[in-house]
Amino acid sequence: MDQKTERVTLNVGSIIVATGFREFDPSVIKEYHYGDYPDVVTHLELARMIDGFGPTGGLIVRPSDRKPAKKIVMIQCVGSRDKRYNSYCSGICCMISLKHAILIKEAYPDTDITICYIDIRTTGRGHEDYYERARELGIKFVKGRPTEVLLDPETKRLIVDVEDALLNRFLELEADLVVLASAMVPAEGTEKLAEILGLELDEDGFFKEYNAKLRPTETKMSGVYICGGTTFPKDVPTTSLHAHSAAVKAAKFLMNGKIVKDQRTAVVKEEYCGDCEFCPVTCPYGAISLVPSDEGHFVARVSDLLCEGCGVCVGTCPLNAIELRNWRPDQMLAQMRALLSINGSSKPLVLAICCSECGHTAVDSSGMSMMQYPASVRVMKVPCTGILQVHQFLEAFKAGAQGVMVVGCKSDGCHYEVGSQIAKRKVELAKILLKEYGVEPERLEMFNMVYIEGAKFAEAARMMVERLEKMGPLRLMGGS
Amino acid sequence: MEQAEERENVTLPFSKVVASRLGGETIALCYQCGTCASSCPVAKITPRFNPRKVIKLSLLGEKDEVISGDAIWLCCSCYNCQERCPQGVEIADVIYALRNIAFEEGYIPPIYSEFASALLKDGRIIKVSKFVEKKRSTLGLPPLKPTGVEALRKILSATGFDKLQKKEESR
Ligand code: SF4
Ligand code: SF4
Ligand code: SF4
Ligand code: SF4
Repeated sequence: MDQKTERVTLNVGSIIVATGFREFDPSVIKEYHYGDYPDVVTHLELARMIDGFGPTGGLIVRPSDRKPAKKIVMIQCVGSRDKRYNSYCSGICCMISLKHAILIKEAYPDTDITICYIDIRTTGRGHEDYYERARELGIKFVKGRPTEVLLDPETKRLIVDVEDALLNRFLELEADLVVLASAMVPAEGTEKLAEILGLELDEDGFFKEYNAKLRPTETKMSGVYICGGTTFPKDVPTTSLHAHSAAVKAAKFLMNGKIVKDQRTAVVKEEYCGDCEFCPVTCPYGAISLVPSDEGHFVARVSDLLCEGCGVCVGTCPLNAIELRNWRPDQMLAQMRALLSINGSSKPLVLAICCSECGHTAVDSSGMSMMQYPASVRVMKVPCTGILQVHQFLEAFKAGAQGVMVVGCKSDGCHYEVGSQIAKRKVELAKILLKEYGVEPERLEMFNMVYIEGAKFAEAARMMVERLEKMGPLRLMGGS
Repeated sequence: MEQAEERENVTLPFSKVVASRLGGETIALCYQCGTCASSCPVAKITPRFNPRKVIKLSLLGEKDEVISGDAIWLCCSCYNCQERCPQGVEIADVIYALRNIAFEEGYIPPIYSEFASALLKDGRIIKVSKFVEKKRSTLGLPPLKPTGVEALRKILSATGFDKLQKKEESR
């Protein structure tokens, strides 16, 4: 017991977060009197009693007087599936209750055990067998969530007040021990750790996987993986599976001995940087920091390792001090001009600037499903619509576009988090400017879609062309 | 387009009707855990009322059974159930919504109908008897002031309550 807290600094190439989850503190649910009545316990506490090497040597007792617990009532969904605390199903507490009830009943067959449940959830290989075994052993089940746990002042026994909803009968179940199947919530310090590692949390406060279906255990920070209960409560087999996935991914990441990255990263032209702090705040990956410059002020600097090449910083910088490699404004302008150089149809020319994620993929899906849209719509791909600057919309009109469509992800589904929201604001700003210049603001429009919405893109393109046909040709200042 | 119109013309299922009424919005959240029932002092003493069953029957569309029966009128509005419902179902308020529907459709226990008539007439649901007046004076309480029945009638007429009650009385 002479262990001391030690601070160790490690130099690592990859991080796996496996900080698990924690049991919800049910004392906030006043009517169950946890922390108030000593004989109301949680499953974690019961597990210590069941353990032969635990404090009671495997005896199941009432903590109040350490006498054997002959009647046990378990209450399910305590703080789970409850909109006041955690609205999700914790997923494993039904199994924990069944397992504990079976272990106790097998060791002490005369113990009377009742499980009060809303629904018994035993998904997973072999799990239903536990439910069956529990019934065979004579464990009782009451469908009903108790309203309260009371203490009989005379007998000092607990009473669980519950409706058996199947019989429509009110029961007052006597108990030596009441066990709460308390919810599983994110581990302590999760928020702080997320902040340090630049990771996101979901609405319940668990770590968020980059894409739980296609890229499980990955995060938006390359080289940082999460697994097990950090992402949601899990049983042991699922946790093990998840841990394997994280370990394999971390190994693969390290195995090369080097990191291969797309050249598409941002560069700051330091002499233009005005130290405004816009870009470090906006970058979804925390890739930009302010560092002291030779001239005694601060300048933004991009970490090539962290940068994912979205270009959101480019669109944000008020001084045009940031560029994305291979996506410089002059390169984009050249692309624009080339796309708009010839029309070849009688319809008005439209430039559709699409993000490389949902926007451009929606265009692809419209093509794959053989959907038709006017040939005068020219598609230009950009990393993310967040890269666009207001003057680029105006340049498109100067280069010959009669209309401009900006096609990005839905604002809550943007692959670079904030990109399409930023683009939306730019489009609104550009519309005001267009009006000032005497150009109809309806010639510019932002569309948000999911990658499979090919039909939506085709429809938007047709709508835009029709709108422009009605408007007639564009007249820029000075008339043309 | 046509489909959308068609959809609007379809009569709403009863649970949706309840959900569209003030107080009834949360009804569909119920997952039948029974917390409300074991919280309810009325359900504990009479099998004629159980808030969980009222919700279930309404969700299943058993409109006639719900609005023509006396169950919904037995709730004493203690809000115990609502305090403890894990799904945030506003049970007592749902029951008010059901009572409103029942009243509109002509189902109201006679005692409530009498209250309603008295309210329209004198501004009180219970007539102040000679006995009450005497009791007040022996207790040293001042005599009851007349009610602002005119203002009350205006409110009751704005809500359409008076018309419904007239209809009820002429039954
Ligand atoms: S696993 Fe069972 S006890 Fe746990 S929250 Fe889900 S339904 Fe409730
Ligand atoms: S391109 Fe995107 S990821 Fe890279 S520094 Fe700019 S905002 Fe951050
Ligand atoms: S407490 Fe709420 S969720 Fe449970 S049965 Fe009653 S209304 Fe339904
Ligand atoms: S408000 Fe009504 S339904 Fe709810 S507990 Fe009180 S009497 Fe029962």
